Amino acid sequence: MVTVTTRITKQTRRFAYFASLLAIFSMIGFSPASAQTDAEKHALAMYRRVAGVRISLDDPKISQMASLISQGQFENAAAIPTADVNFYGITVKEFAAKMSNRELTVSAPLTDFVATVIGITRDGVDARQMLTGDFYYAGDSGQINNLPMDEVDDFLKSNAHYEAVESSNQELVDVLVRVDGQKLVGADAQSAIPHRDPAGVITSRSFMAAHAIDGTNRRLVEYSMKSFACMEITEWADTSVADVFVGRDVDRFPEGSNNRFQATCKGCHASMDSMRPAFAMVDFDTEYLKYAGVQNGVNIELRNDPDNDVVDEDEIAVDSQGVPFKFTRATDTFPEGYIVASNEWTNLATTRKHDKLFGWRSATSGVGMGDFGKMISESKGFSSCMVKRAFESVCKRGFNSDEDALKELLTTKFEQDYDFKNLFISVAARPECLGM
Amino acid sequence: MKLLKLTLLLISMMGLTACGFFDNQNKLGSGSDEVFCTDASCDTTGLSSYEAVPVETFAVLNQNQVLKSMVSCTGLTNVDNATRNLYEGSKNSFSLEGEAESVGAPMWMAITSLAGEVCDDLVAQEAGQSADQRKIFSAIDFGQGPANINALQVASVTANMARSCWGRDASSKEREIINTAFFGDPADNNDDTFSGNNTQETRRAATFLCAGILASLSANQM
Repeated sequence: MVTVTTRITKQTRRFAYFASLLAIFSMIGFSPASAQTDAEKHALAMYRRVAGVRISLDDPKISQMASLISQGQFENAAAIPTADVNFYGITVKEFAAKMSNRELTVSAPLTDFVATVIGITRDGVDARQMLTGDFYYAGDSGQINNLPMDEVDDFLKSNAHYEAVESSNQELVDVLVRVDGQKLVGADAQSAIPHRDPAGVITSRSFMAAHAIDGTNRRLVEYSMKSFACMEITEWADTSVADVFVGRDVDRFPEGSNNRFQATCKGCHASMDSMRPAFAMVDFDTEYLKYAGVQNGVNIELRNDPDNDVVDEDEIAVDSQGVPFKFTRATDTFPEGYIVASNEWTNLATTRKHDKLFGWRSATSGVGMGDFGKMISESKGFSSCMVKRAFESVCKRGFNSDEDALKELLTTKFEQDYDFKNLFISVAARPECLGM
Repeated sequence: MKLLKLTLLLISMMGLTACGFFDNQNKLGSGSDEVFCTDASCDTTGLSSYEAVPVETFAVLNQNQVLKSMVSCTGLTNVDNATRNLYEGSKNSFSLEGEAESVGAPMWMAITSLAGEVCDDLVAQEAGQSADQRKIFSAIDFGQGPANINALQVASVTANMARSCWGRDASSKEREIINTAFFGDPADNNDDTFSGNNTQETRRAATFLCAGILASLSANQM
């Protein structure tokens, strides 16, 4: 510690010294006799939690909020900080970022996923379209100079467009515009074509890059449930579900015993594998999402070396069914297992236990990613998860075990309009959130 | 002596953190004991008897918030490239998600450095404005040396910074700390005071006042 301080300049030492003293005295409550009223204190806390930044006590918005709070108009007060640019640039951005990447961290760059959630919030779009919509949000080239705008190179094959939007340091709420019609890279690997199976942010480049790369596309199911229904796979694993859809690559006799499969492996795979076919047309390879039937399919099963599934940039590795080859890996493990031949799927996570967890309210079978996204978006689990995420964002804690009624209350309210901005307002207005 | 004081203060600050001084959750009691039910046929009238229980939590600004919050509370309109570069370079030192447990010496050193740069930018901004346009340094005459800065002017800057970035007035103890830090300790022959007629020194003095408050816990608490 002494070695560190000897390198610091004299004045840096001085203000580090008195900043430390100020820190200690504020921590141990040597703060004030202040002119701040309870309503102002409440307004300040509400503002910084919603907008994500501190604001001056003397800002007219604080007195406006304090007045509303004094009259018991907590939601009207909480609405005021949602007009701050930082509500979108920090609070909503972090809310979206946590759902968008494999680490589920707020420390993620701006992507098509995050931009789309910010846009949905700003424009009051029905939140369910986050998983079903055929659109995305992007930076406005009319407001940002030299913005990379090539549909293929800057949107589909890289995150260059969004990195440039972020680097411009302009306020996201001001520069994002809605673009209707998601895209795929075409057969020539150079053109963009309309997406054949859009599903909101599920089919965003960033979500696909995180979860459709390598593997067997099971991660897409796992992380869709984790991100949009707040369900870890360990919570919805259930060995009572039939194993009819479990793939050929899953060993039914691990360590020589079927008991292990029945007692453990089946719990996750039975449900997860039943929904995996929703993603049977996609593979994220060589920096972009390939779609079976668009790129030139190379049947790996015809190769002498079936372990070699490397293909050219404008090709997609498929099996004899025309399904991405990743669904056909290690099929000699249990050849009698389920063969994925199309993107038709049936959700088997529909037991009484799953009903309580997810609250399915629409079709639990379908074709492709759009139907899969619709199933999740219409579920009680989705609404409840969005409430949980907004609550954690604003209140800096999760729901306590005895707050189920509060969560239900907020979920019911959210489902009245599926408006993300109103969700944040409802949460911030609750006394349980700010402790006031 | 001052080095030793700084060392002891930093260590005690870390010690207070380690003892779990920051109360992450203050559970005051339980809410309704109605059974949570997802089935549409369930009786939901239990919600009307639900009793709200306020729960206060503590958090610090995270890495995405810290610069924007400093800009927001000080009223800085233009962050220069040096400040932005420092922020980007220090980002990993700031708290990731604002959790209380993330508070530590590296984070605080990074916050202090950033506060210095932000305040530098703010001084440059306000020095070019008339006194009535300024938010923080309305009482400071940037055309004079720091020898002309008196206790009232320091008090003005302190009050403006406290209300802007703490959301409250400074306590008498806090004002005393700031005065001692700025004017020096008489027992130490005031050897650290800002003095002379150099106007650049006035700007440095203003930055000093600003950064000390902006780098404090109260200014970085969520």
